[in-house]
Amino acid sequence: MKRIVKVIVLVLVLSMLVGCGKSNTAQVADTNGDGKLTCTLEVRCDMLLEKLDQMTREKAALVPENGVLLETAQVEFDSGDSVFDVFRKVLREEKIHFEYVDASAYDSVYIEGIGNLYEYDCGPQSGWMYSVNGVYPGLGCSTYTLADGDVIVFNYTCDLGADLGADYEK
Amino acid sequence: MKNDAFSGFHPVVNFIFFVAALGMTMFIQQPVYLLISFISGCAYLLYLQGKKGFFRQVGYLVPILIMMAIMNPVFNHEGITVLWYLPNDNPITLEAICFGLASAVMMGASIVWFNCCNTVFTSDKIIYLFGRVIPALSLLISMTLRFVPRFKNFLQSVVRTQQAMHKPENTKERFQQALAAFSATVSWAMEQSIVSADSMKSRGYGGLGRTAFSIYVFEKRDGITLVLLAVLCAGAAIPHLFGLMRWIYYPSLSGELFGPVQIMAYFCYGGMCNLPLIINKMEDRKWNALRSKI
Repeated sequence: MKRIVKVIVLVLVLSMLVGCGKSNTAQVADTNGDGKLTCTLEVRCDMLLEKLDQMTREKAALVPENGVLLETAQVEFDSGDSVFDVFRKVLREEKIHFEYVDASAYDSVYIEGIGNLYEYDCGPQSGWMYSVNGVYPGLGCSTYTLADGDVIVFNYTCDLGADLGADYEK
Repeated sequence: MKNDAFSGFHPVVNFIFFVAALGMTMFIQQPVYLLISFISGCAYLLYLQGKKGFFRQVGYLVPILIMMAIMNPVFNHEGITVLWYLPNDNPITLEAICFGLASAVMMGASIVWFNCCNTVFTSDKIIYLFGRVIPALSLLISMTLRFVPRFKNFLQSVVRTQQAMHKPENTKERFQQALAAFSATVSWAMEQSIVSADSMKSRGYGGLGRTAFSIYVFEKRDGITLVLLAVLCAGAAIPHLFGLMRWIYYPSLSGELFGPVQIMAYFCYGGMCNLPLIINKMEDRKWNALRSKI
């Protein structure tokens, strides 16, 4: 009995190690030639400003007046870093609350809430999305590898991205 | 089990009391309400079952509830009061801990009240109350509820007999014996179902013009208790329906806990939950007073 348990534990541990052992080795070019890789990160929730009446009182109180949760910040990153790596580093430093889950089916993480504003807080089609250089990539934020000079914006949508101009139909 | 005066009341009173206590425990998530319900439920179960019975019936709950209270903040990170961060950067928040505690207390209170309900609201009362409205279902419910303890008792007696005949020496033998006992009990249960079906048929079950024997009379004291129950229930439920007992766990703990209306509602709710215990105490006092005069 004990031996079976041991074998099961061993298999589990091995499979976890294999799952974690992916590393991104692709080199990212330093395009502006300053010797550092930098990007900017911003977190906004403009869409919520007009829809405060559709949220609960407690949630509406959390929406900042200008819709900016995190002002545009210049961030240095390492080659191969994903959007999520930069995001979690900056938000931890700025002490802004966020919650994510590992969506293993998509091999990425999913950000459920930032600053206690969560998915579904403003209707069934609401949640967080991100754009890089103005384009919504439709990719998990931990699978998108950054390039030098990228502009990342996290924005809250109330309509699956249509109100942000992220149209996947095209 | 102690002689419970509340059990002697009319089944309607018992039924309405338990519906109110369980319903309000499960649907009002206000922390003070939950505490009141939990404490009164425990006190009543302690009165009904005694110390030993109480711990046997709900002792296993303690680790489960502690697990529940711990698990919520591990998987739920909403809330503005960040206490510390998990290694994966998700925060542990005060709000999630409070919510976990509250849901554990709610779960515990509901189970404790169900235990009280099982002791007080026996199957003959179920048949009496619902025998006319839903005869087949109420019979089925009371038979099913009866089946579980009967099955357990029979299984225990089979195991005891087996052990008296031959004490198992190793794990394999113990396993074999347990399997044999289980199979014997299952075949006994099947046989019993046929026997009881035959027995019911030969007593004319399903025939017309059957009457049921019951000794329940709706007395004046039942009426008084029912009115009192209704008043206390209204005093506890109406503030909730008007949103005065509103309490929010996420994103921040908010709501009024100790305003005048709230305190009044707590008294009503406490009175309601403790009604059986109060009746019992009054009955005990009466009994003692009468006895000492003789």
